[in-house]
Amino acid sequence: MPHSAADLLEVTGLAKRFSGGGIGDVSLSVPARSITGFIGANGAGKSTTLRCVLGLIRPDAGDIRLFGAPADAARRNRIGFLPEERGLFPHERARDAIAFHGRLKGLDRRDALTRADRLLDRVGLGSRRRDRLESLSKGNVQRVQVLCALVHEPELLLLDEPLSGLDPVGQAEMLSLIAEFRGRGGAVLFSTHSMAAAENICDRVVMLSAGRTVFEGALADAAALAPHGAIVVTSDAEGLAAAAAAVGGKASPLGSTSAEAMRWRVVLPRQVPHPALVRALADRSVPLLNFQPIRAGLEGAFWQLERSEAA
Amino acid sequence: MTSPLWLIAERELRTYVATASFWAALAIGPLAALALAAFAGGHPPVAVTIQAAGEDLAKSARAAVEEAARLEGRSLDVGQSGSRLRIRPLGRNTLEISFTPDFPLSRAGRMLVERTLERDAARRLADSAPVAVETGALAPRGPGTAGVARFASVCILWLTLTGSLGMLLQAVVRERANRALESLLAAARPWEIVAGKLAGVGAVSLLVLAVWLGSAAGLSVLLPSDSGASLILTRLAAPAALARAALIYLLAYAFYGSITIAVGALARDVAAAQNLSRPMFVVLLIAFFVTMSWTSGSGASWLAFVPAFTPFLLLVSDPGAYSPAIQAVLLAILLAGAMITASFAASCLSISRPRIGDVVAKIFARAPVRFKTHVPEN
Repeated sequence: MPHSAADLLEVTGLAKRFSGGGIGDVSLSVPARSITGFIGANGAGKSTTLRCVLGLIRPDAGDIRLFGAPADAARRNRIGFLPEERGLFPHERARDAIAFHGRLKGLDRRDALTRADRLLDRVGLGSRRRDRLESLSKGNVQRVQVLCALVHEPELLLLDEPLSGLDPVGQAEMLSLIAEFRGRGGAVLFSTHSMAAAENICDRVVMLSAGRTVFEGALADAAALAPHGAIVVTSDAEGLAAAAAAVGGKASPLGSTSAEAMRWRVVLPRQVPHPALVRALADRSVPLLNFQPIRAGLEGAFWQLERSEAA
Repeated sequence: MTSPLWLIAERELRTYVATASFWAALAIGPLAALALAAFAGGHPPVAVTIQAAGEDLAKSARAAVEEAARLEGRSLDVGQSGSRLRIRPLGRNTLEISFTPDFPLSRAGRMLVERTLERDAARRLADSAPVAVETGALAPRGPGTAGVARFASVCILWLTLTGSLGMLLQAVVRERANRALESLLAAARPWEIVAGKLAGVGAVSLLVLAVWLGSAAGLSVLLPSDSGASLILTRLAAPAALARAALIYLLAYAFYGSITIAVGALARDVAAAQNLSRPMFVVLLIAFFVTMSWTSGSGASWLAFVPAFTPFLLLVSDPGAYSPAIQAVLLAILLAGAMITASFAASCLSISRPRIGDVVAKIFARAPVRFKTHVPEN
């Protein structure tokens, strides 16, 4: 995939093999002032890719360029990173935790503390700057975590599952912070399982499957990959297969073997409307426990790409 | 810009200092010293009276009582009131000695008074010339104050080490388990993290040790200058001995601390870390017992060349046991051991760390270690 000169991060043909997994061929780019969603199933290689970008793991093959040049320690210092599992010290005060990360990135003590105070004010935690993290709510700790990644004013933010473990309010706050960072001119690459969140905030998406990039492009292009069809829950597998075949579609089980499956994904030709499938099911007296049309969105596209990769 | 090493050290220190339990542990030393001081020096003199027939007998009884009281650490005020000691001659060869039940001497103290009076009476009866006593010096049968001081320094090293290693293990496992290490590794090199953690936790231990030893030194001021405890503390505080002990402590902490960090980095969680660290603590225990056997003179001298034992045996041995050259060699061995273990710890801390199985396989294969990469699952 061609990358533009304005890409802050360019990864090409990245590979890293290790016992039990790894990545085989990952390519992606993060343009300036963009939010790129990094989507893939568990074990697809998202965290491994991020670790390679950060220099925590040396890749077996591939090329990583940061800010238009080969990645090195100085350029990596211009990245803000939020790991998947957060590890702040509970006894630490909020401003000290943020300042510590700033100083690790080269800020002097006074500057780091000033910035920490400013950031805490910005997210409404100014009055709690001297509180120990153990006394803050999980959502507030998460915000402090993001501020740790932001304190040295990075140009590129790498977020590994920033929404995991957050309630809807916390997720909304996190997405606001990410959007705000982009609004100030930064670029973001964030890995997530939440398709809804990615649809809400991303300009672009990169999808990974089994350690390979299977899609990279605009959100709308990804959504268009979603198949036309429905998710059907029924106990009559044979009846469902027959009904799907009758309207030119195909049923395949979701997350279980065919013999025991209750939940099916039926892909229909674009010209066949959903009611046609419902009629075919009714004609065969197939008991329907649930029927949900597949939405033209990231989730549908994700399933489609996962399935094609598995095939 | 501050080096990540010092930032990490400062953070470790701040983390421990911020806990109430740390201050509680810190306060135990001074509180114990205060309690001992209060116990030793807080009692007012107890009034006693001595009734004896004859001036000689009264003088002798008073000296005996005062000596027994001094040995028992009691302060008595001999006068005309208080608990009573009565000494009556019953014939030429018999003395009746009676204490009131509340007389402030133990059974042993009272017996000492009785034997002293008996001796003095016998001397008077024999009309013997006073015995001249000259002070001489005999080699102590036990280890003596110097030996006790050396053994005390081993005990302090052992206690400090086991305490610090526990803290270090916790500090590494915590960050390994919640992957906070990734944040650190994104900004600092593994050896900086190893050194930072060693320095931070070491500073915590040093602080506790300093307060405890300071309390002991303060207590020694309250003790009589010729008491055993005071002599031991004086020997411990001798500048040359202190500098030598500090160097040995530092190297021992770096050696065992690095092993602990490696163990913490190889473990998945606290339970695994505790299991993995068990052999190291067993070695520490063996080192302690080996050191004890040395104090009774039955140690094997070659053991001092094994880094795990070096610090303990160097501390406990008589200064003349090793020539300066040998001592330098031993310290160099310990330093080399610390550097090797620190380097191993740094390699374990990196994300592409060795797996325990690989390490064991390589040890038994006796092949050059080349680790497979293990990356935590996404």
